[in-house]
Amino acid sequence: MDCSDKYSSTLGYAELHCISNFTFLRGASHPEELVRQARRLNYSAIALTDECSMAGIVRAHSQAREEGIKLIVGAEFYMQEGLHFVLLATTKQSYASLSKLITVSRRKAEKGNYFLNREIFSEHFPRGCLLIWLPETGAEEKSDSESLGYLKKHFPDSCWIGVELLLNGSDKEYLARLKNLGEETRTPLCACGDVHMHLRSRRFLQDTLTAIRLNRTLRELGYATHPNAERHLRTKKQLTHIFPPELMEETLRITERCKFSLDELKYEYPSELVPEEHSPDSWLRHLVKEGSRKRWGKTIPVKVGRLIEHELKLINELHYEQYFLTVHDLVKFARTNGILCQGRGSAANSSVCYCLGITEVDPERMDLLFERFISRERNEPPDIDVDFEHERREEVIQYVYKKYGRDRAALTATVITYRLRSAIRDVGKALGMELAQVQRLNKAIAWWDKDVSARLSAAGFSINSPLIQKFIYLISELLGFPRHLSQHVGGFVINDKPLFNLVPVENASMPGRTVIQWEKHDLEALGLLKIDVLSLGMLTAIRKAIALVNSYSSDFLSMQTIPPEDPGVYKMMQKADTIGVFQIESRAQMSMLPRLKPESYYDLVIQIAIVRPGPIQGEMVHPYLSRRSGREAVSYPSQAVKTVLERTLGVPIFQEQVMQLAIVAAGFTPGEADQLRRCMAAWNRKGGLEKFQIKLLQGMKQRGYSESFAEQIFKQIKGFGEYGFPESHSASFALLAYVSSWLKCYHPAAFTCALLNSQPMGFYAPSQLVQDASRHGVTILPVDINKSDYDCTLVRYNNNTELRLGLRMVKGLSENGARTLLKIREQALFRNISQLYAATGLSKKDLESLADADVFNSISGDRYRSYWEVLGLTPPLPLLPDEDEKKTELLLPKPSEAVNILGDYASTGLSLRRHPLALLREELDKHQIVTANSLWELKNNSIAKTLGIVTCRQRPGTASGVMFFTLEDETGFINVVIWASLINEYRHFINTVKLLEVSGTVQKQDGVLHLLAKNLSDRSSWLGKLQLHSRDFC
Amino acid sequence: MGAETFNYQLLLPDIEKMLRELCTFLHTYDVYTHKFSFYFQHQHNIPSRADVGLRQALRDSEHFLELIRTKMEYISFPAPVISIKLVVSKFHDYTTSSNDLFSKAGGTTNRGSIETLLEQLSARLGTHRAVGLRTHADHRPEHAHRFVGAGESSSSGGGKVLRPFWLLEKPERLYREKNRLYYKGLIKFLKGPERLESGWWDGEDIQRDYYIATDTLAGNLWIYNDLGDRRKWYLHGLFG
Repeated sequence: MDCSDKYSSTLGYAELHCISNFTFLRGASHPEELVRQARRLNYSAIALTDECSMAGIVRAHSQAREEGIKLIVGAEFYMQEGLHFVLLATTKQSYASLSKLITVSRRKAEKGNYFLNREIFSEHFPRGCLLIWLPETGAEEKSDSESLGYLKKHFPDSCWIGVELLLNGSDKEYLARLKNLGEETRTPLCACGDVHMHLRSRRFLQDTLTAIRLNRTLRELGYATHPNAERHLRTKKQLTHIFPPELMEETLRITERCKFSLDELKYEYPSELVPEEHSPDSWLRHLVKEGSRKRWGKTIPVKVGRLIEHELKLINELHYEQYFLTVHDLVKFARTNGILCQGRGSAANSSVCYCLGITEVDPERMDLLFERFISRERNEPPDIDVDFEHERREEVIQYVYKKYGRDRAALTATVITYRLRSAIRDVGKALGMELAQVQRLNKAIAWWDKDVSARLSAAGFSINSPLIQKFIYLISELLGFPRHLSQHVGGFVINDKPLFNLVPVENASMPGRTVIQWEKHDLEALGLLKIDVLSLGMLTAIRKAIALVNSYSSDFLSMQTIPPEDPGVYKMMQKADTIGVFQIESRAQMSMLPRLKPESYYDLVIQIAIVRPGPIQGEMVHPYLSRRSGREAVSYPSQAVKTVLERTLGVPIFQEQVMQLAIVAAGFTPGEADQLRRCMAAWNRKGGLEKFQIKLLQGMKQRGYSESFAEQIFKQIKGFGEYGFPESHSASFALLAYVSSWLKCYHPAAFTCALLNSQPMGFYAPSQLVQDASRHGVTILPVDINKSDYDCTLVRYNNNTELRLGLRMVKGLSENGARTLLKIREQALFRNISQLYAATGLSKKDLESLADADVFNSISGDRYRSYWEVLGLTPPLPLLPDEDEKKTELLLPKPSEAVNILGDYASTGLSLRRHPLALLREELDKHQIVTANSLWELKNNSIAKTLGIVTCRQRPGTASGVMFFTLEDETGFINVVIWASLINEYRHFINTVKLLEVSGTVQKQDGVLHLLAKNLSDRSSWLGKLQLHSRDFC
Repeated sequence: MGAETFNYQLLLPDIEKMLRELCTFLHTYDVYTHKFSFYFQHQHNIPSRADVGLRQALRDSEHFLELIRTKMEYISFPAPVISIKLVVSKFHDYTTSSNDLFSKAGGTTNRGSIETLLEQLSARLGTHRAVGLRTHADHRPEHAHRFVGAGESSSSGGGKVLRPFWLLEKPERLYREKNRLYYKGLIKFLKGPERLESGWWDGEDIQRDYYIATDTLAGNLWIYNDLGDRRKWYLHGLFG
């Protein structure tokens, strides 16, 4: 491949027919790879023409901008009638018409497909686009001229015949035939490459993709594969040997006419939010003023007043008023409908957002500089995510659709890419492996393994066998390839005009949902705006808890009136007594709490951000803790750095600080720092951080910083990766963490009750939540047929609050059944099961579920008796008198305690009886197995043997192969650390064990106890049939 | 049987007579058969048999006779023949017609048709040696066919590309000197290249540029250049 050949430097060529891997399972290269290669081969331009799709165009666009090569925006289509062509956008208007055609064709078909025929094409024909017709190689001349005639009718002077010479043996005849046709019809010819991949060597993957697409093995593909690998970006030298020069020159003339760039797309905010007599600016000012009165009354603190003015000016300068108005509108809707919500993200913690009610983070409580969130230089849209109660978010989504219409509002896409599991399955199938073999491979390459070869070899696969080598190669190539578009969890794009002016819209799998073809990163790259309408379980729980408190408390409680900075709340946090609390309940957070000892809101902001892969990989945790505890002096390498890092004692913890550092210490412009941030978010996916490394290290050296400091900063930047936690998010989360802690601290019954009624959510299962509540003195009452509501409820009793479990805890009971039951019960309590059955007509399944859950205890005795009775029920005979007095006494044994505990767990996921391990304790004592509690009595570094139910296993990506287990016994929790070497030894049960015995070393530090495992045993069989589920996090 | 004999020639008149009777029977009842068997009883109570299968159900005694004759040439009797029995177990009330391309060429009489040829070949060479070729969907020329039983249908329609009639079992390396290629004489290129890169999945990956070329002494050739080693050229087929 000699690209400096004199031929190639004189002849120009632009590739006008090129698909990427966003034409799913056909294209075998990423858009970025195609653009980069086109630049390397010195092409004049490259068009990305994915099949009826714009999903990959933004990636290509960003890459083209970086490489300095022209990108033409287009798409390829196959019509129902067999016509095959490419459309290229020339102007913004023609882009919109192309995008509309894609939208119409996509909306006519199921998710992932499109439907285009002549009728649709004529109706929505893309005005202003250029069309390159791609005639079939084997077609007859008659059909040729008919097809061309049809197309030329719509594109009289913008229609080309695309000639694709792919060395199939009859290129000459094909060219001659098309030349003839061109002359007869006066249609120009141009050269095209039908490009499917950037390099010839991608043919292996391309063939594999074909096999996956057609659901056949490679052997069975036959002529379905391409006969050769010519569909790659060929050197200009090769092309000049294949194409007549005038056909190559024609590509340049076409390029000339394609003047459109995605940079021209501009978001237009919905205009209906501003009343006629107002400008966006004056309306925003009006709303802020109104809001500030609500917050502070007539006298706004001077500092805040100044801040508000400053922010409004900046917003006005950057024309972001309507963005804030749009978010405000959503929040207002939620507020008026009693849906709890909170904003977060770069702009959310501004004083303007505080006034608009988007956030509860009081600007007085924090010294957040607005510029850190919106910057003049960056000219990027501000970012506000709004979390809504998870059970009610759908109402907000429906509101958006209703207000703006489905043509103007749609969800952003999420590109689902190949992960290890899916890659193994599909490649294995394509290579013709047996299902059992694929399953074995899947098992061998467990979820944490990145090093495929080593794992396979360990599992007994011969990694030198050609099949396994192909397998490994193909998997490594396929990983990260897009598979299909899915809907983003809640990223909305709302536009003033129909969305297809910006981007095609297609159907999502959920009926009635539509998604745009771009994902979050694409929108960011083009500076387009999106609003994240997210759901958060904790908001649901908080709303419910506050409502419960208000049901018995004399003072009215709301998010706003919860007293801030309560020392009792922080004291509780410092003891890591945070089960159920937002964010700081995870095991990693819990082991940090006693070390960091938060005592103020801002400490909590740091606490949340520091237990993240970013600071952990950047080795920021220890320096911060030592400085905080005074073991290490706080120092700053310079005054400039001090301004950035003072609030975190000289240690960078937040994403914003890292960017600031790049500016003040390494001489980055704000724009460059922003690029760095984007790169930080994506380097795992795309790489490309190296050029920043050089610039950063050099810049810092020039400014007199030590190399080790510079290296440390860079290390942290890398560590931040996708997980970098911005201060702005942490600030919002800290607020919810505080509010939930306050509720737990002062209203534990209400708090637990609300959590149970918002399941599934959070880190802990109901069983753990209930145990924790009992440990805090809350009396928990079982589910009872005559006393339980559907939800769990609070029972006031002598100024004491008890928690009554609700029918919702009963597994297998239908919601309808439960509702019927409650309705009938309003008239009179149930006396016995047969009367209940006669009155409610509940299904046998519902009744059995209730009996299983021991719900009939108060009217029918233990679960055996209830179950027996349910089994004997017959449809009531209306003429016979009520026979409930003639109950025959049964000679059933009483269920043992163990049976009852098992039954409780199986039917409600928790038991109010003794902990299952309490039953085993006598036996365990004989084995010298100690309880969680008594571990604390042991000395540091002593050896101990303990045993517990596995409630959680985690393998953080940051911890180089270590696994963390949380075990539970009747006295509490045990944190177990298992090193990578041990994991290997016990891999046959480590992912499935339910009851784990661990011998190891006790490690106590800062009020946290860990057991470093030395020996493990699987004791699951001791639990019998107990149904337990661990929550696994990778 | 009048006499014991080893010599099948001596049996032929009897066999012929039996076959004629059979055909008379077939005509009378207006039926056909596609299989008949001769059971021979030998001395020492040893049995043997000769089966004749037809591609098509027929009732033509001459044809039947010719088939059994060729068959008998290859049969060696274990012992002298004492008696002969002709068995036909299945009759058809029409002659099965074939949709194959060649059946039309056979005209109204079935003699000389492709089926007859196949029957004769199979009978003479043994069924395992008279085989059919079927196209197989694979870009690689050496994998683009499969051997099947003689006369089995040739489905799985081929590619759209031009392929030579005669494919060499093993490609033959061509002599090359000063950028010229020689087979029997100097080779001239007519058409191409057709590039084939396929088959990596079963370990027989090919990367070749095929050309149709001509050699004044040997007619039209199908040759290829190995893309792995551009200096190497091979003859892979001959056009009829």
